[in-house]
Order: sequence, then structure tokens, then C-alpha cells
Amino acid sequence: MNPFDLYGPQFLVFYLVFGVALLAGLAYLRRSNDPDPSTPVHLTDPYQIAYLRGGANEVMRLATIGLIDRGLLKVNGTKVQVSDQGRAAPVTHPVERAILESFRTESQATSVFSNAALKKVCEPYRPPLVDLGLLPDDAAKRRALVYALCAAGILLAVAAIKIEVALARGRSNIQFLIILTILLVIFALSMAALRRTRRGDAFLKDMRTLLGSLKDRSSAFVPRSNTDEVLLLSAVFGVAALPAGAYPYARALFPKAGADGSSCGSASSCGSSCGGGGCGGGCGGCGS
Amino acid sequence: MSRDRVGLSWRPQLAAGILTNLDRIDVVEVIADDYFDAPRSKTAALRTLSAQAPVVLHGITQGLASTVAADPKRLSKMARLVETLRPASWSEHLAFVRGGGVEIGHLAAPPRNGATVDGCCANIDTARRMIGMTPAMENIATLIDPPGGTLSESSWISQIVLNSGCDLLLDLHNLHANAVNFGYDPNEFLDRIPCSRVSTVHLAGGRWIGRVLDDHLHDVPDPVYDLLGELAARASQPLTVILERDGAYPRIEHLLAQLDRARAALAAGRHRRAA
Repeated sequence: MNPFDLYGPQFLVFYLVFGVALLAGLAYLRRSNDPDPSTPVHLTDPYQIAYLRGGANEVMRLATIGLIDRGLLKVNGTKVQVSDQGRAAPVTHPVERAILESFRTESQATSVFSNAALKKVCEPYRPPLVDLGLLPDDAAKRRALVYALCAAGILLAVAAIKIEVALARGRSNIQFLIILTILLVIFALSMAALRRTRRGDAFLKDMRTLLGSLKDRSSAFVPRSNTDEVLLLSAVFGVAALPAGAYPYARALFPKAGADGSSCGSASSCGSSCGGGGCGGGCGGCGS
Repeated sequence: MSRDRVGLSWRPQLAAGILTNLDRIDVVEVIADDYFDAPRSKTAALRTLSAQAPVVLHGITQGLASTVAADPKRLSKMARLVETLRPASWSEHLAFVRGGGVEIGHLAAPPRNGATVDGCCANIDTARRMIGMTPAMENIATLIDPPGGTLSESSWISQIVLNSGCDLLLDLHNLHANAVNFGYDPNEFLDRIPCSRVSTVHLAGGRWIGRVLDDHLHDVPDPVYDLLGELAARASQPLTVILERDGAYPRIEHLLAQLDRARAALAAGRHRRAA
């Protein structure tokens, strides 16, 4: 049976099944070389966990919240500036020091996301996470991209052949096929971005399970009394998990992704994280 | 020889405090029974916890100190958890928790006699064969002297430890509570048990209700630290010391300070032993 001889509705069903099967194969292939997700890893540094969850932007967001909680930054609406205490504090952590430096003058909190120097300071977090098998290496990313492009190419080719056959036979009812093709190709291309490995996803899921009750009792948090726990909670669940009563500035400074293009849309961190499938709630740090 | 380890019992309410202070916590003790019927995600999370810090398992519902045979279903659940987690050790209580098919929901002291020594040793042997590791057995606190006993508490515990080959998990607050409630000298108790078989120590707090109640809701009292020093002076082997807290959770710094006191008591005892 030649599928291209099928009538319109029949071909659409065939094409849909074919496309879904192709995407399922793509989903399998793109992670077929992932490290074993059941292998536990040692990782408790909140900044590393934040990088795993949302990239450099999440690290900057976390550092800003932590410095505010320690009283080293002060908040004025959606703007942030170093406090007198912050000017005098001997901060040695490179990211925290860079964040303090970037807020020498009062600036929008989200300005850190467009600061290339800050991003560079955060980049050392990536290699250890790749070594632990939590983030994909460049080869895995390339592989995922190639697989996605191949899948999209196959979908386009099959659709193009059918359209040519249909037009040659004097039929012009190809609108549904075009719409279906666009949808399937978008799905395929969205799978080109490989944010984390399965091990990385499993680690974050495990940490959320371990700290689940912390999120439940986060309303009992007292500002400036427990910064380490605040950092861990924010690293694992996102700053949006902080109780608004105790930390009203968290959402004001870093509002939802949809209202804050600079924090989530422009960078590779959250944008790719949430758009690439398999995100598993990883965009909590974007304020959702 | 490996060093003494001092750690905390894992409670979800303490999770963040523990994970952010692993440089001051050598080991984490997990209640095994919480994971017997847990979803796979919870067990996977426990494996991730075990990658952050050494984990030991503690059971509360096996009821091995009984003339009634151990429940193979519960033991197989423990075996599965041990297989999954591969902890350095696991432990249970010298208590019974069911009788005549009725679960009493409490760690009860059995009659201290030859029959319960034999029953407990048989159950420990069953557990060892099913799980592949011998449990360390923990002395319990009791508000009543169990009837039907022919042996002292120290003699009963010693016979079980020596006859079964198991290690002893010595709960020093339970020892303190029993000593106060029944009017004996805890140091003499230490003299009568095989301290060389103590592998693990529990520390906890309680309150006075006309007797000492071991409720795990209060700070470790001074006499318990003194007992830890006494034990460290009598035992040459490394000890794993676990601080238990089951509610009224203070800030983690408060618990860490108690771990520091435990380390100091251990060091003082070791120093006395060396002198």
C-alpha cells in the first residue's frame, strides 16, 4: 500500500500516527545516551542547584535574594541597591561579589539578566554539572539538535510529497495537512533544546521530594534569620516558592516569566528549560 | 580505625537544616518504616539523600524482642530497603509491638526472662538471614517494670547481645530515664553490659511527669552527655551517635550545638580512656 495514494482524511490519520511515532522515537533518541538517572549524585550547593534548574539567570536571582535577606542589598520597589552594610561587608563569593558590584547604584533587579559580565561569573557552575551527568555536554546537545532537525525534515518531506501528489491529481484540500505539518514540526523543533539530562531531572525531583515539607512550612520563615535555608528552598523550588508575606520583594523584583522577558525569555536558562519539554516544573524560578 | 560519627535523625521538618549543614553532620538516621510502602519517588529521594551523607536505617515496627516469630513480610520490606539503600547499618528495638495478632502501636518492654532472650535471638537470626545484615538492637525506656521477668535489664540485654552476636544501640536517654524511674545507677549499668558491643548511641530529651518521659521533644539533658562520656571512656570502638528529635523543632543551630556538645563529651571520654 502506498500511503500517498490514501485519500485526504485517511492520509491525515496516517500522517498523524506517523508523526507521533516519529516524535516518540525522537524523544527516546535524544536522551538515549543520557547517564543512568538512578545513580545518585552529591550536590548541596544552592547556587549549583539553581544553575541546574535555571542556568545563570537563576543563580543571579538566587544571589540577589540571598543578599537582600542578609541585609547587604536594599529594595526600593522593583529596584535594588547596595546597603551601607553591603558596602562594608567582606563578601568573598564571586557571584555575590559581582551582584553587589552591579548594584552599586540603584538599578532594576532584572538588570542583572542583561549583564554579560555577571553571566560569565556564573558560567563556572556549568562544567561540574556536566561532569556529574546532570547537564548534557555539547555533543549531546548537538545530537539532540540534529535528531530534531532530521525529524522535522522527514515530516516536511512526507507532507511535501503528499501535497505534490494531491496537486498533480487536481486536489486542493491541503489546508489541514499544512496545519498538521506545522504543528508536528514545531513539536519536533521544540525538542531540539536539551536543557538537562534525565539524571538532572531526577536529581531535582528527588530534592523537591526531600524538601517538600520545607515548601509546605515556608510560611513559618522569618526574614534575615535563615538565609541558608532560604537559598536552598529557592534553588530547588524557585524564588516564587518563598512566602509572599515574609519575602514580598521576591515576586516584585522577579515577576512571572510572561511579564519579564529579560529574566526568562532572552536567556538560555529558563526559556530553553521550559520550552524544551521534560521541564518538570523547572520554570518555577521564572516566577511561575 | 575510623572515627566517631555524630549526626541527626532525618525528619522532613529538619530536611533543609540538615542539607545545609552537612559539614557539621556526619551521619543521618532514617526511620525505615516510613519507606516500607512509600512510592518509588520517595525511595529514590532517599537514595539521593544517601549520596549527600552516610545514612543508617532505624526500624520501629519489627518487634523482635518477643517469643512470637518475626513477621517475614515486614522483614522483607526492610530487606528491600536495605538492598536499595545499602546503609552502613540498621537497627531495631528490644521491644515487642504486637501480641495475639493485635498491633499495640507502642514499643513495649517484654518480660525479661530466658524465653524472651531465646525468642529475640531467634528473631535476630531470622532478620540477619533475610536482610543480610545483623541489626543493632536498642534498649528502650519503660514506665513500668515489665511483669514476668527473672533477669535484670542489664543482664537481659547482655544475654541477647552475646547470644545473638548483634551490636547494641545504646539509647542513653532511655538508660537515664529507666535509671531515674527505677532508681538504679546508670554507670553501674554501663559496667554490666558489654560496652565493646555498642556500635550506635541515641541521644534525646524528655520531660518530668512524676517520672522521666522519653518524649524526644526536648533538649538532651546534662546527665545524658555525662553518660556519653562514660561510655566513650569504656568503649574503644568508633561510635555513631544520633540525636533524635521528633517534634517541637528548634532552629537547626540549636540542634547543631547539641551535636557539638556530644562531640565534646565523646572527646572527653576518649581522653579519659587514653589517660
